[in-house]
Amino acid sequence: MRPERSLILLLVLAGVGQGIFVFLAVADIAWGSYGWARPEVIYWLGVSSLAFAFAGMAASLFHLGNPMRGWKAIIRWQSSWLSREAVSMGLFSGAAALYLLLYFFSAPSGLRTLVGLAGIFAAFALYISSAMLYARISFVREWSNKLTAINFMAFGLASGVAVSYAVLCLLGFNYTAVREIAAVLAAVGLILKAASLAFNKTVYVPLDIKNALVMNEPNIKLMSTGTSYEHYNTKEYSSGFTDAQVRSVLILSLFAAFVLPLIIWAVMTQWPDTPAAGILASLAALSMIAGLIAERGLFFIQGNHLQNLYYATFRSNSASNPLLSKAKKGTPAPVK
Amino acid sequence: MSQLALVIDLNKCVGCHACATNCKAWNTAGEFGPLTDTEPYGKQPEGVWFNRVQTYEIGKYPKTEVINFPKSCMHCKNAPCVDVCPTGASYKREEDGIVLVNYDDCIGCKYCSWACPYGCREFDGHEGVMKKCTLCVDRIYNEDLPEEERKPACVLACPTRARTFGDIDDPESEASKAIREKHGYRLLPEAGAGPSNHYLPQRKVKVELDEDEICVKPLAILTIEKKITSYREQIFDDFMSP
Repeated sequence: MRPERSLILLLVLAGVGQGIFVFLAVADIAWGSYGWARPEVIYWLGVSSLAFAFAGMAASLFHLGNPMRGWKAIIRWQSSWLSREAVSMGLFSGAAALYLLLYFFSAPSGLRTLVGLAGIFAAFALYISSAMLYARISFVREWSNKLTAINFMAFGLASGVAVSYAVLCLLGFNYTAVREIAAVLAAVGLILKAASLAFNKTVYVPLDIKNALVMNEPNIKLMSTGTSYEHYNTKEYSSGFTDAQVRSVLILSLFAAFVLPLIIWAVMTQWPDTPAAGILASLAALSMIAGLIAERGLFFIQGNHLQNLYYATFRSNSASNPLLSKAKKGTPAPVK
Repeated sequence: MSQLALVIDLNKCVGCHACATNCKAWNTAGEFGPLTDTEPYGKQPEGVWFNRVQTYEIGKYPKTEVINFPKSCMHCKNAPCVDVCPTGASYKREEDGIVLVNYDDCIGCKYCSWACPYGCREFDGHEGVMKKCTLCVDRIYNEDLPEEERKPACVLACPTRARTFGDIDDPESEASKAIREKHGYRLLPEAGAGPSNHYLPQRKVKVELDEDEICVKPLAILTIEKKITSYREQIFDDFMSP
């Protein structure tokens, strides 16, 4: 699929915003009684969460052909995951804004905790509906698996905590616990990404152009794409990147999203009272966001749409047929 | 319940693009507004087409054949594009099973086109809405047109009558009969969309004759040949005589 810039920004930036809010609400519930944060910390974390979420929402409007009608997306929430995404986006930003207001009007902490829990629920609903939007398309096997939703959550939380840590460091609160949480989440993210890459290698769609045209002919060659050489169907469903390009972007994205932040945090562990904590933590967070943007771009590029069968651009990964590869290793293929 | 659909005979299709051209002509001028083009006279013309005829070559040179493959919306029974639409702009009509887009409700999110396994929806960048084959819903019920013209534009344009239009749920319709009698099939049933458009296969007609059948010319053929020869001579004589 074509990597759509506005959608990549929506998924990554809104994911960061949700992650920050989940961190803020959970930290406030867990550490609130210890006085973990002064008002400006809550303020900056809440504002950055909302800013990221709104930046993502604004980016998503550029994807729409008719942004002025965007509000209509909430209508069919019973059947469409995109609609559910829009609804939970609204609920999440509403809850996050209310949480911040309640804090400043010194509302009773029980009420704030309740709104915080609602916000956490909305944030996870948003992660899941954003992911299910893609996972729902069952014939794009790289998308329609459980790792899609798990990865959206894991990457969003990891980047949210990384940005929260950067905000804390910039305000002068270099909490070791937050850094450790961020590091654990980044490591989990790296493992999940590796699992998803391993899964993609095993994806095997037993279809080719013969199935698409329902003709058992050994050599079928596309001569004309129909009326114009390039059109919506030849552009929207293929990325135009070569395998070598994809591989190098993949390595860069893994390094920027997970490895570099982990290295920076490890340096900060060795150098606990560094005056440059704010800059280092911000660098880690920015690197992670940049890496995740590339990662989400690859998520689109690796999606292999079934209609590509008709345009001879379908990657029929016949080498990964599980039965054949088993037979190659010496274990006999099951015979009926 | 009925389900209107097209039955396309690949054995008859000659790849003339008349169906696609007439579709574009009607639907640009019809009730649904223009199908916009970018750079129509430029180097790389692009535009929205409801129906595209793709061409495939089968076999290896010199033993090759050409398959012309027209493809438009399948008006699926279990249309995945309708399910995923966030606004309800994409809908399937209960009375005749046609899948349509309400352009006034479409926000142009392109999600329906991703959910379509056939790639039969095209985004109109100028109007910012998704467009697709309407099965000429503004023709088939149009009482201003003579009754024999109340058919989709592509069906009317086809010079080889490769396209049949009808209710595939009615076993007596022309379309149903064609599917039944000429081995109609659907594309990519694996995708689970339940497409309504059917295709009739390209046939290779072969007659097997034993040697003794070939060397003896039947009497009937000999008589016909003789008649034709004498008829030709007669015409020739008439033409040459002053």
